Amino acid sequence: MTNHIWLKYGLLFLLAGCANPPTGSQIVAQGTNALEKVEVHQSLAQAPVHPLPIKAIKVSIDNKDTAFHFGTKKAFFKLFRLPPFKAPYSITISSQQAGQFANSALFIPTLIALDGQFKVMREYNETKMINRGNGVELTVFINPSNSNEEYILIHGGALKGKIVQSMPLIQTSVIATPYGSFAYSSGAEIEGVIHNSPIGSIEIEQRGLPEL
Amino acid sequence: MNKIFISLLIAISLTGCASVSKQAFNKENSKHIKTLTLAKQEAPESYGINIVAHPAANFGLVGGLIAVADLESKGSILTKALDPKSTKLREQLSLKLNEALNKAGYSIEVVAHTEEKEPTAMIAGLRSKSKTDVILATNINASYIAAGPTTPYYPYVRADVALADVQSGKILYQDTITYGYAFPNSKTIHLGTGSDFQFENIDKLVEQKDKARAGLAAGIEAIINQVTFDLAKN
Repeated sequence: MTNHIWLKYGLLFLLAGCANPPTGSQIVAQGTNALEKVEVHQSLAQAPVHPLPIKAIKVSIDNKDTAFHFGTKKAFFKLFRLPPFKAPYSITISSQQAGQFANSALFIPTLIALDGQFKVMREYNETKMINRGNGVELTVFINPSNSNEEYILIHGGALKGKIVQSMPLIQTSVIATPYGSFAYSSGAEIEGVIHNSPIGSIEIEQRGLPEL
Repeated sequence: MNKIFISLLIAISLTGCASVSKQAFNKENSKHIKTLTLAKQEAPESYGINIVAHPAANFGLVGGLIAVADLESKGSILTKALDPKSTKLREQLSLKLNEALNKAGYSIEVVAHTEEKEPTAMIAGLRSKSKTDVILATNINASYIAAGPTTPYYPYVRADVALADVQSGKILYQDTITYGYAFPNSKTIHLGTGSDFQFENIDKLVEQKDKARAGLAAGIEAIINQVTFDLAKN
């Protein structure tokens, strides 16, 4: 009997696959709600600081982070401390679509370089990003002229709204025949919606700093 | 060229992504660069066709071989219709990139090469002969791609680009830039959808060859703009 139930569950998993990820609209709604409720920091000096990762890692920027008013916009952010300048190096941040293929969310980051007193030295927003794959990417260099920069801050939420675009989709279905099952792929075009999301995750990678 | 490119496209279609070698250009650190050798591709060009979910590919190895043969045959039809001697994508790229980089402050020397190689391999072969500060090499491929047998074809232009220091051989800039049909999870810099140049089927592509050519030329233009933007020193 117990075996029977397990077999049924097993079959269900096989047929349904993993649980569906949230849609882009759900991710945006979750981020917007969290942003409405969160209290903002009055000064960046109070914010938690993370060391700049030496190896490429993925970090989330969401309701577990602190928020701040950037101009008129409230946004979650992460603050990274840069190592003392010795030689030029680059920092690349990238963000990919999350959610479902036809309804996804894209966190578009803004990067701000700050000096030791949290004064803005440089700011890079969506206009400086390139489209890479299903997302956006930005590379900044820390050169001798930027040696007074001590922090980089990454926040989102600068853009609202969504874009609708036609996207190619490859659908694979399992076809059962008396001689066995086989996968059949076919191509289709669907209309996909990409929402600007106030929360998401970015990959951050530096090149040029020595490994510790 | 067609066979290699079709194999590459099929690999991308099956894996969903392909890794990209990339190196951003440090403009501030490169102000000393004044002279540039532009490696002009003079290898004969052809234009491919790909149907990402080709129906025959569902039927094992034999089906896969049938799909490759069908795509090659369609590619030959397209190449014949567009006529490489009239379309001349590689020449357009070289001429316009020369102009654009000249305006961006580089003094350019153009060197022709006829081999079909990755840009870094082209650069390695040209370094000993070059008297400029850096060498810029590109390898472009162009095709029309449809998601399935009943979906429209879109232009797809792919350029592998690399810039290296002549003395040290150090790669100063490298990326893969694509235009048009978007492969999900591709890691390239992707520019434009090419949606102004969609064709219902291969017959329409051949019938409207000027528009088909214009679709590929739009990709070349977009790639030139990206490379020039990336390498402009101001």
